[in-house]
Amino acid sequence: MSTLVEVKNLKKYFPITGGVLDRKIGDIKAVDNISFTIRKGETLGLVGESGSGKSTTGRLLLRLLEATDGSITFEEKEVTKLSTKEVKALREDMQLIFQDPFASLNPRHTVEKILEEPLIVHKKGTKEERKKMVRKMIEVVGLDSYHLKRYPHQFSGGQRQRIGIARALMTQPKLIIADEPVSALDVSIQSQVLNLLKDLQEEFKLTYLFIAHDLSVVRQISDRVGVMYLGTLVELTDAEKLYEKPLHPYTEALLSAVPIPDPEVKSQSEDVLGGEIPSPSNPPKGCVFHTRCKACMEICKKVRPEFKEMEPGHYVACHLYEEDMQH
Amino acid sequence: MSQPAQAKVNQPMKKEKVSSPWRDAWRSFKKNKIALVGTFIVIFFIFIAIFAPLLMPYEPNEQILLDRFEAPSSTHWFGTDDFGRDILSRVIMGARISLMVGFTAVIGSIIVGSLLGVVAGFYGRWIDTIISRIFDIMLAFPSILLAIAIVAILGPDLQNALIAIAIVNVPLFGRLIRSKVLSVKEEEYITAARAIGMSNFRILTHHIIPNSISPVIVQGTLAIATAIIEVAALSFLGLGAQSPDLDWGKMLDDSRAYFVQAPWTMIFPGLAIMLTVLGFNLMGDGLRDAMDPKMKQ
Repeated sequence: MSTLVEVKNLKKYFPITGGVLDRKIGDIKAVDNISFTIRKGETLGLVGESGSGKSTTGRLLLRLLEATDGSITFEEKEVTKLSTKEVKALREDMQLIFQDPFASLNPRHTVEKILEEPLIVHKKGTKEERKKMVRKMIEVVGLDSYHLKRYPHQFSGGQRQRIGIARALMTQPKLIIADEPVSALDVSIQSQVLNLLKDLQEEFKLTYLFIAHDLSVVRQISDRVGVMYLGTLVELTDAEKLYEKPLHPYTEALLSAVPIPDPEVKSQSEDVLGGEIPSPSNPPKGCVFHTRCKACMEICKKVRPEFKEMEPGHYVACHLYEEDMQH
Repeated sequence: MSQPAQAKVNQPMKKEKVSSPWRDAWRSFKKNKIALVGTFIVIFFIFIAIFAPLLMPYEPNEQILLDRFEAPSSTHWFGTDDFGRDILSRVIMGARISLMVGFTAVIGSIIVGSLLGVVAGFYGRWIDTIISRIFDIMLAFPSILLAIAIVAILGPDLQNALIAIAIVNVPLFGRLIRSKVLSVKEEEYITAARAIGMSNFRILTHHIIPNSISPVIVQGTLAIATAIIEVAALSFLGLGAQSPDLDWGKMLDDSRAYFVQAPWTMIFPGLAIMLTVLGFNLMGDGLRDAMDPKMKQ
C-alpha cells in the first residue's frame, strides 16, 4: 500500500500569555514531536485520554490549525506550506467528521443546503446536478430524500451524525478525519454508524484517520492504532498486535481499563492507572509517562525515549525496550 | 383517474411539517397576547403614518386664529393650539414624521453598527480593539447629551436630529452583534464550514450573520421606541424639527407655555408618543421571548 499522509516531527505549541503586557509566559505542548504515516485505504486509529493531542493532530492535518514545527505531506504536497488557495483545494480531498452532531450542523440551514454547500464552495456541477448528488448521498448514508427539507433539530443524534458524514463525503475526499465520530452517540447507534463508515470506506475507497478515546470502538474499525499520551505518540502498530501484545506500559494500562462484558471475569484492577494526566504546559522531564508508569526506571526521569521501530511495523517510545535491544 | 393516485403519493410530502427556526419563532410569538397587542398598536400607527394625508381633517399648519385654544369638540376632536391649528391633524402628521425618523435612524444604526460589530467580532485583534474602544467612548456619554452635541455641530434641524440619533445608537448594535459573532464564531458548524474549504466571506454571510441577527431584530424594535423618544426630546429642546416642520416633540415644545390653560395641546401628542413607544416595547419583548433560544422549552 502506498502512503497517503506522512507526518514528521509535528509540533503544535499554544502560547500561554499573562501579566500586564500579555507577554508569552509559556507553552502548552498540545502535540509534541510526533511522526506517523497513513497508508492509502487503511484506517488509522488514534487513541488517548482527553488532552493528549488527538484532535489537535487531526486539525493540524487539515490546516485548521497552523503547525509550530514539523512537516505533513499529503500526496507529495507539503500541507504546512500551502497558500490559502491551495488549502481550499486540499479540503476538497480531506474532510472532517465531528464529534458533536448537535453543534456541527448550522441550525438555520436545511439538510439540503448543508449537503449542497460543499459542492457550491468547490464549484461542482450545475444546480440540478448538485441536487441530484445531494439526493443520492442522503440515501447512501441511510436517510431518505424527503429528509432534505428538514432542519437539523428535527433529527436524532444518530441521524445527524449520518448527515455530518454525508457532508464530509460530498466532495469525494480521499482522506476523512473522523474526530470521535461516535462518542456522542448511544452504544446501539455507535455500531450502526461504525458499520456505515466501514461500508462507505469500501464503496468510496476512503482512508480514515479515526480519533477516539474508546478502545473497543477503535478496535472495531482500525487497521493500525496509534496511542497518544500528553502530546506524544507512545506506541503505533497493527490493531491486532496492539490489543494482543501491547509493549508500552501506558497501552497496557489503557487496555486493562476496558470493561469486559462478562461478570465471571475479574477486572485486572491492579493495572489501572493512578493519578492524573500531567499538565501539557509543564510536561515531566524525560519520558512524559514516567510519573504514572509502574515500570519507571532512573533513565526515564532524565531522557526522553525515542519513537523507534522495535519489530517490523511496531513502533514504541519506551526505555524498557531500548535496554532489551542493547543487551 | 390518475388524480386520486397522485394525491396519495403526494400526501406524505404534504404532511411533512417544516419547522424552520423563523417559523418556530413566529408560532410562539403568535401565542403571546401582550406582544400581539403591541404589534397591533404599532401597525395602527404605521397605518396612520402612511395614510396621514387622507386621515387629517384639516391642514396641519392651517391657522384659524378665531378658533385658538378650543377644547376638544366635535369639530376639533383633539382641540386646537395657540395658532388655532387642529391638534388631531397635527398628531396624525406628527406620526408620519416621528415614525419615519425613528425607523430610518434605527435602520441606519443597525447597518453601520452591524458592519462594525461583525468586523470587530470576526477579525478580532487590533481591529476589534480600535472599534470596541470607539464604542466604549461613545457609550461613556449620556446618549441624549451626545445627540445634542452632534446636532450642535451639524446644526439644528430634523434631518440632523435623525443622523445624531443614528450615530448614538451605533455602538448599541455594534456591541450586541460583536458579542454574538464572538460566540457564533466558536460554534462547531463554523469549524465545519472552514473544513469544507469555505471562504471567510461566505462563512460570514451564510453562517455567522444569519445566526447572529435575531438579537438585533429584537433590539432594533426596542430601539425604535427609544429613537422616537429621543427625536421628541431633541425637538422639545428646539434641536429637531423647526417650524413649519412638526413632530410630536415639537408640538410639546410649542404648547409648553399654555399647558395650564389648554392641557389638550400637550396631552394628545404626549399620549401619541407614549402609545407608540409602548407598542414597540411590547412587540420587542414578545420578539425577544420568541427568538431567544434559551427561552425555548
